[in-house]
Amino acid sequence: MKTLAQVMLFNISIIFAFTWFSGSIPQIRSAPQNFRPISGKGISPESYAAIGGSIYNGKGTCNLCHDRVGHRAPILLSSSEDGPHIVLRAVDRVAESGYKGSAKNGVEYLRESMTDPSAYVVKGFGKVGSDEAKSPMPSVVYGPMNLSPFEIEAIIAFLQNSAGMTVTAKPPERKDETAVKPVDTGVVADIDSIFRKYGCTLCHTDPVTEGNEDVADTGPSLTALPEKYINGAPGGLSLQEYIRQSVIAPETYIVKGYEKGVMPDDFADRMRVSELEMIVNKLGGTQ
Amino acid sequence: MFRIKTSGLYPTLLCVALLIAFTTEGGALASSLPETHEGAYRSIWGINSRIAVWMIAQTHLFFAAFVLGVPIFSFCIELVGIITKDKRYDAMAREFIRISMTAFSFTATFGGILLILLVTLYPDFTSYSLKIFGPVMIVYAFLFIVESFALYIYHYGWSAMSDGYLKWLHLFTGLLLNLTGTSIMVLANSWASFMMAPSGVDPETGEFMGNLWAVINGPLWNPLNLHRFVANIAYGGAIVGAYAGFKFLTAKTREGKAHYDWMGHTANLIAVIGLLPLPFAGYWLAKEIYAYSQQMGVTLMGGIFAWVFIIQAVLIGAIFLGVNYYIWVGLGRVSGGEKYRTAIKFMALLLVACFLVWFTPHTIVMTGAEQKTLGGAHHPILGYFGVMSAKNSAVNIMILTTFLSLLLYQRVGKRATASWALQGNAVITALFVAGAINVIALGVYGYLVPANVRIGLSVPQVATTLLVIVMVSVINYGMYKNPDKGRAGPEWGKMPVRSQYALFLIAISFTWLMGLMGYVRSGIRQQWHIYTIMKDNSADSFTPTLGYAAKIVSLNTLLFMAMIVFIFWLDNMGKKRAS
Repeated sequence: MKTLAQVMLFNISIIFAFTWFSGSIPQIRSAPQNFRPISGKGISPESYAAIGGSIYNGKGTCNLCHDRVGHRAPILLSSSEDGPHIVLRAVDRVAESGYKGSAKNGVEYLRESMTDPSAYVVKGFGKVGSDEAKSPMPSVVYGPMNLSPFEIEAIIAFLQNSAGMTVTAKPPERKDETAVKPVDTGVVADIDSIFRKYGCTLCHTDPVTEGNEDVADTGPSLTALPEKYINGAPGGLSLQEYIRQSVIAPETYIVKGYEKGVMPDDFADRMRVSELEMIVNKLGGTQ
Repeated sequence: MFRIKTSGLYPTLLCVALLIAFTTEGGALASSLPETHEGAYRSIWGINSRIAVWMIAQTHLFFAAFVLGVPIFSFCIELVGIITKDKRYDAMAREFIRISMTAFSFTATFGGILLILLVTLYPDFTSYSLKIFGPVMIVYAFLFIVESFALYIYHYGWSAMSDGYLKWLHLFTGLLLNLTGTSIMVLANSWASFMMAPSGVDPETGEFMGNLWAVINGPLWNPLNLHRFVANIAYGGAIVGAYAGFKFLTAKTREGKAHYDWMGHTANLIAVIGLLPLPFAGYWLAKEIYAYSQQMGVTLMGGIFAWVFIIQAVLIGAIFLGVNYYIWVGLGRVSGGEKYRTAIKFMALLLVACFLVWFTPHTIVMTGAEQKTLGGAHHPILGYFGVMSAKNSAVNIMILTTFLSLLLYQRVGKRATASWALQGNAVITALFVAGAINVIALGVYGYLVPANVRIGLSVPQVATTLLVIVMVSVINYGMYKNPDKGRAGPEWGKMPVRSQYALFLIAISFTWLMGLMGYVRSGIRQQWHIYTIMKDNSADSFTPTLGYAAKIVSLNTLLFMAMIVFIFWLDNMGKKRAS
């Protein structure tokens, strides 16, 4: 029995050591793909570009390959050995004699590169064994990325903005969007699930994703609100009232530095009362 | 009777599930994806569905790996016993099978529970999968029944079929057991690989295209088959090694200690044989993942799962160190083993150095001030060890060092009688040195070429290591074909207590590693039940953090270990009763 106890203690110690080590390294949690309930109506070019940036670094996972570390795909956001910024390169590309794609201008080329990456394969970045005829990049409209036209145009806006050029890309009509709406199972166990369900973390840093550098900052941070509004919330409201108002009537008060018309105004129709109260209690520090 | 009843549970449940699948939604085989609707996900008693399925599936896989691995080497050892006419091998092969018997029942039970959970908690996903794989599952259930018959005959018929042609018939039963077991595994692998890289269905609608073989033979099926087959052997060896270690520690007699020392040594040897080619099988699987989907590959190695490979380095490093430590201590069993002490110190240093290179991350999380102090995102010296060029080189050197440990153990107490022994030793030394230089040189070259070329360099590195292992083995075999056993053979049982703890370290690390890599394999699908075909629309469609996953894996490992102890206790009780 003594031997058994010693052996079990040894084994448990090893398991504990592995668990401790795994918990001590950087913790990253990927957010689920969310239905983006943002209306394109009234959105400013800067806000649209910011949304594109979050898609570029998040759902679209463009930065996984188009970066300097792995250099698995051409660098896009700056001048490099691959050429000038991609927006400028795109204009030159369609004018090349060897270009066989269907794009007529730079913006169309950017769109084509995302929806049909093999239409033009950059030399040195072709799929192994395809003799530069096929791109290893999957089309963004299918498969894991599954980007809607709204999101593709947002990425183009982001690219234009990052090149310091005028953002000409505009959100398409809402009917064109194809993103899948998540199923409402009717069971929401915790605040974390509510944030995911309504896509809050696409634009806001919240207490759960704080520290994750991938989150978007299109909207104000939701962390430490009780400390931030210790002397009262805008409009003379209590913090709880202010949070409730911000969710169901977001246009009533716009935090300095953020755009109007970005946050959807239909949460009052879509959200359950219990869910709203859970958000109010969590962010308001009364939970 | 209990075992027979439990084993029958799984195919029965499978048939019931198939019946449900075919009788719902028109029962058409050529089914497309079900429409998402309320009720697509269910929860029982507030238990998180994903954790429930995750834990039960992993426990099922732990047991399945064990019961598939053990019969493979049990069969091989029985064959060795027949050829050498050494009854000890026969007795050991029988003991291996005996201790895995109850584990078969546990495997079937957890398989049954998993099926119930899938049907109950993920009805849409299960319905779609059952409709696509219906015929495969019928074959699966049939093979399960054949495997059960083969197992019972193999185990219970050992004494009755111990002589003459009956012994060969018994061995054939063992072969049948392995064939059916492996077939079951590859069929189950087709479901897992389909979820990762679906084939044979319409990529947009998920509709079955009519060719079942195209569904089964997906791009990741064979790499997964090979990886799991090899890993099962190594894992079976590790678990049996832990069993032998515990029996050694509790044995009261000298004979008992000698027997379990021999068993532990053999089990460790089997684990090493499985361990050495395992990284290569892993490379192949990762390469095919990249080929199938670059995005999935990058998510695996450079995205949110990149840090998993630092944990993996710790785990495999622990296994390598444990395995080598056990072999080195084992040299003390044989007179003459002491002459390798100096070499062992260098080998230990080399292993630790390689382990540290493997363990070094590419980047670490830093504040702006820390980054400024460091002069960038990477450490000016250690940063070089963070890339695959350094890590591949380190792993290959670790494999070569472990092979050298085995070679030294095989040689101790013997003298080569071949007339060309001196030249043979010179060639072997040259092969090791040239192999190590080539591996390191390729690693250094990797820093000078683009990433896509660098990834391809792992192939000649692996080929170098395999070539050295094969060539050295052949030359060594020729040199020691008829050795002069000038000294006495191993003194079985002459092992310190601490050596047995190395066996426990290997078994625990293997189990934990399997759990971790299971999380990664499933996790790289991210928000998809079936990658690019069926989306996960549940509240759990996010990928949990490593720390969270580690807690689940640890809990799973603890539960599995508790059940394994229970199984060994049952076996001990049965033996006492029989004697």
